Amino acid sequence: MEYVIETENLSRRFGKVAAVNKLGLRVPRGSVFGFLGPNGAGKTTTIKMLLGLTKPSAGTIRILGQPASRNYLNRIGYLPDVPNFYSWMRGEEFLTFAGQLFSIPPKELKKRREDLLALTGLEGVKTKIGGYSRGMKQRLGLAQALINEPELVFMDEPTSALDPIGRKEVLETISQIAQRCTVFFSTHILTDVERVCDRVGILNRGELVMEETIAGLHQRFGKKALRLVVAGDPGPLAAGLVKKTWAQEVRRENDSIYCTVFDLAAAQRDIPLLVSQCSLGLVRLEPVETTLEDIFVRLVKS
Amino acid sequence: MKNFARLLAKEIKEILRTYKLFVVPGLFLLFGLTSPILTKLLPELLGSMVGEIGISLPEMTWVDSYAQFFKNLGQLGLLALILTTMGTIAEERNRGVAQLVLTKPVPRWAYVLAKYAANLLLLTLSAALAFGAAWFYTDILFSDTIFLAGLQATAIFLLNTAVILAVIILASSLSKSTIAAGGLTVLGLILLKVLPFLSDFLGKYSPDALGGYLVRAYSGAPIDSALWGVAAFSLVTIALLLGAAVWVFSGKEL
Repeated sequence: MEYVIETENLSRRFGKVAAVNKLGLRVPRGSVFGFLGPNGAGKTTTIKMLLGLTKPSAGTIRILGQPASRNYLNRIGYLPDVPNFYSWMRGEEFLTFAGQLFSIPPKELKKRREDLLALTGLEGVKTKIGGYSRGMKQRLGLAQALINEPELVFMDEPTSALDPIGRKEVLETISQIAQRCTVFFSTHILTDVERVCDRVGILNRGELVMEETIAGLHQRFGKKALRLVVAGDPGPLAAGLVKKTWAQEVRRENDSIYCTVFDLAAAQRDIPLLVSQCSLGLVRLEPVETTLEDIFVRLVKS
Repeated sequence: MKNFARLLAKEIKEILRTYKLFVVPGLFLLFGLTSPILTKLLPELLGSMVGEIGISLPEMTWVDSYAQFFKNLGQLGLLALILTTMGTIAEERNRGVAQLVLTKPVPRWAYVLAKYAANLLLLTLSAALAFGAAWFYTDILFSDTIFLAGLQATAIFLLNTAVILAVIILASSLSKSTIAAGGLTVLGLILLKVLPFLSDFLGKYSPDALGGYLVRAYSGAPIDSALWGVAAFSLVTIALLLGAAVWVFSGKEL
């Protein structure tokens, strides 16, 4: 497998605090890699080190097969968490400026600029960037990150400050560009990761807790679980469930009971009988899929 | 080198499309237009103010007009330059714009030097425009005006201000805050003033000596050849300050 990002023992210390600690990361070409972590986990510091904006305290970096240098800047794109531009420029002017810095020939640049403005829904916008909304700036940031047709795009929390519509638009655009290049996408919004990523790295307190495909994570850490809703007091039923050998964890959640199990079939067979023995009415019994959030919280806490 | 030219073009476009176009050239031009007129009217104004006391004031000359013009440029003009330029790097770094530009194949030296070059260009055009106006009105209002004296003084003023601009650029690359960059600029200017007291050599050749030559130039007094030494030392100072700015900025985390 070819990797576009490889780090070994990558570390960054700020005084006594290790923002990133001995990070070993491998991002396969063509993937949409979700770089997950709670706030302050070291995601932005890692991205800045990969881009050469921050110097590592220790460790090595290889981007697109090259050791850390400015040589690969021609082949990558970057969208910061809060993209800021020259407010006196118009969006298409900034794209032209960005394209010129990559020495893209004028004819080709014009075509790419028009394509990207269409892709990000900014075509025909004549307002100066100073008058752009947050979502428009994010979309322009995305467009400028793609102007050089990069092989690898870094996106730092691209959706965290957007409203639901803005988020949906940006995620759709990411899905589209993922067909052309590798996307390295840092976030703490797990639903975004589930929506667009095929692989994740989970970072906590500067350390990589896990690196896996989304499917692999579910397979390794997903639990079989059921949710029950009954008519009446669920207390005695919960007490009864705890005694069952197939029950792993039983938890009251408002009016329902959440139960993780070792044997789903046995649980589905026994529960209606148990409900009936407790003189309760069974309103709902449904299997619950373990969410990425559950896995994330468990991994980060452990 | 190509990206230096592209960044310079962007900086020039920025000057043309923002308030900067009006502040520095506007203020400089205002001084060029008003200094000769105010100098001409000064005896009458003072005379009307003191009334019957009967103080006799010497008649103003073209030298007084030039002196007033360069005094204004060196004080308020310089203040305007500092205020409009001190955030040129610091603010872009603080706002994150520098991140977007410097994650493209742009060397940091090009980023820093393009800012210096664009502001120097603005300064040169502003000074030339202002001197044109000052000379025009001085020549109309006063007799025997020497054009070359004013032109030489403008060149010396420009060299002195080019040193100050390099101090501003260094201060702006040192700090992430515009206000701090302004403070560092003031500190740098104080150091330039202190420099001549450190040794006889610096006393003779430091950029601060340009002030004395400026007065001699606009007065029409002969200028000795030591000016070339001061000019050369000023150019070296500019190179050192800009080299330091590039070095500092290259090590900065964005």
